[in-house]
Amino acid sequence: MKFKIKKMNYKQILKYLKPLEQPIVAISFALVIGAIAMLLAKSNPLVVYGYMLKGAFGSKFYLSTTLAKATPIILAGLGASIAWRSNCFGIGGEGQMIVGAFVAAIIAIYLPAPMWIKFVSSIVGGVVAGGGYSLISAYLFDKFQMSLSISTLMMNYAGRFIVLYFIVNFFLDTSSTGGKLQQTYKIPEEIRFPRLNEDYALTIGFFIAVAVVILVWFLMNKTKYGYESKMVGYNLEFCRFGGIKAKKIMYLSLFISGVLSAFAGVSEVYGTYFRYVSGSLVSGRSAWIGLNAALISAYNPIGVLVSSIILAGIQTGGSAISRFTTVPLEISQILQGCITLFISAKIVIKWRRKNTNSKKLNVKGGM
Amino acid sequence: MALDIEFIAHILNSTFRLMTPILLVALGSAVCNRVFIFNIGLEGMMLTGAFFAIVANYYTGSVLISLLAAMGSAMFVSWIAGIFMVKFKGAMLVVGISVNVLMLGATTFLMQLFFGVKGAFVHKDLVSLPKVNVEFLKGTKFFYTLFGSLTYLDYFAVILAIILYFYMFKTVSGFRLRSIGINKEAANSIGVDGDKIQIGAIVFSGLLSGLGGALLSMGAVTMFVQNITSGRGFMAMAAGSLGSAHPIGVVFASTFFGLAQTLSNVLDNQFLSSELMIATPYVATIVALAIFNYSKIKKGGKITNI
Repeated sequence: MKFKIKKMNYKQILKYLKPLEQPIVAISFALVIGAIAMLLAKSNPLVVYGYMLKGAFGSKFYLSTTLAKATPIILAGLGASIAWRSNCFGIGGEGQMIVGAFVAAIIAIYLPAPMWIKFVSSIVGGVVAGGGYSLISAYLFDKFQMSLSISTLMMNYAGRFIVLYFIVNFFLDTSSTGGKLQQTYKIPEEIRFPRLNEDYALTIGFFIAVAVVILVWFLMNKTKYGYESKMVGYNLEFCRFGGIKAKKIMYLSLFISGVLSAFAGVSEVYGTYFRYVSGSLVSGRSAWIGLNAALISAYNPIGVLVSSIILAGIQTGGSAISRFTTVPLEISQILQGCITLFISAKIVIKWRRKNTNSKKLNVKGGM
Repeated sequence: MALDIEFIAHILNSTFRLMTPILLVALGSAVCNRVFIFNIGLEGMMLTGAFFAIVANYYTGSVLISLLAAMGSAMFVSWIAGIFMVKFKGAMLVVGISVNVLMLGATTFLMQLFFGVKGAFVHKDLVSLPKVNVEFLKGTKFFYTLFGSLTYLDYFAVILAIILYFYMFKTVSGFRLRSIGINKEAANSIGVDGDKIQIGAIVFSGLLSGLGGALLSMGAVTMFVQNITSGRGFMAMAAGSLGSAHPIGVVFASTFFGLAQTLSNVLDNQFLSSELMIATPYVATIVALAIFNYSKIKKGGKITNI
């Protein structure tokens, strides 16, 4: 009898660990390919990975840099998760970040009001703008059946250059660099995200992001919306019979997704640059890394938190190894690309195991 | 007045030169769209071609081998992407995004390994694509400027579009290809091997991306710069959609992108914002797709573009 209970526990533990199986397999594959690349660069992979680990998490300074870098990735990752889990495969995180960051920065700089009103309206304005930007793609899908991946991809570029137009023509910081850099003035010092320690990059932004993780977890698992959006993700036909309004869920999912992505941009303005710097959000690639984090964790918010920190660690670790070894820092992009490439093949493993339901799984993330 | 006409010739020439790399890749994207593949990895494949063209160029000094290396390397990458998308049923978006990240990293990584430089690689021994000789036009300034400094590959891109049009719409094999995009299951049931054609289309788009990449790194300039494509692969996808995956439509769409880039370079904020100029084709793509789909929905048709 006792043995039986033990066995069940063992099985239950396995069941809980199951979501980790695929990421671990993918990361191992990626590490092998990374090791081959390091051998090509005439370095010992074990030593390099050691440096990488140290450079990402090895000291208070490195850890705080990693966590600061993870902040926008977590938020963008949550944004992508909300949309993708309900079958809305948009890739507009970058555009939403840009719009959100721009609007937040402009309100914070130009709104003539007391500081706290400035702060609140800037953040609310930023995230709502991002959500609204995302709603455009929802409308295009609803009314014109335009695929979200196309519309959001176009809107990333449209948003980037339209925002640039406003900055160059109306909001350019002409004081410090003579207007050579395409950026706005700085936001007031009083309302920036405070740093925990002057020497470290970590701000309270990271802890806000962790709070948002918990909020999104609650939203996904404990609310009516969470249940319905998950059902939409599983089976659209079933929802129609079950009385779930798929259209409403789509609009809501894309709005929340836009809000979260925009908040990632806002956190960069408030915690890293203190202004809107054109191109910084694009070259930072947080939106794309966030999407990768969402894919690795299969849209689980806690998983997004963990994988964002790992992916940010790969980045900071990558720049550390380029200082200490002959391996170029682009090794971090190679690792990231390989991880998501192998993650994408997840469907095959599931498909081989249970031949039923294979059709349903194939559709996921496909189009 | 003479100056004005020359200015127009200059704009047209620049438009054409900026258009052709986009056109080559956009044709690849169009073929993929026709078989229901959303190939967002074109950016990475283009970058691969641009890089290996320069690698082969540096070691052999032969234009032909450089072009072969560009095509071969990009085809290899696209073949892997195709296997992941079609055989492993990997989500197309995810595979494509991974390919882009991977190749952006890998090309910069290998650039430092092969050439020991960061950022950009230039060398005096690198040969560029041969230009079409237009000395005989020297008499008329307009045509001399209009057809000046164009490579054979530029002309080839347009010819290829016409060939593809005939292939897609006038041959049996082209019809089979399109049938996959309309209904893969039905096509499979009459003996068309859907998987094979889909992978073939992806590899073909890789070949064209490789050529487009080579045109970037060996055309107007002969060098490799980190992320030299800077979004042209995505631009090509937009052009593919704007041209509704029809080869001739794609030519016009690519020209639109080329013109927008040229105008934003040339006019430089004189009476038109260069930022808005660059944004225009993307907005136009959305508007055009909306109109296209709307008219189709009204007729009760099925939306097949992806």
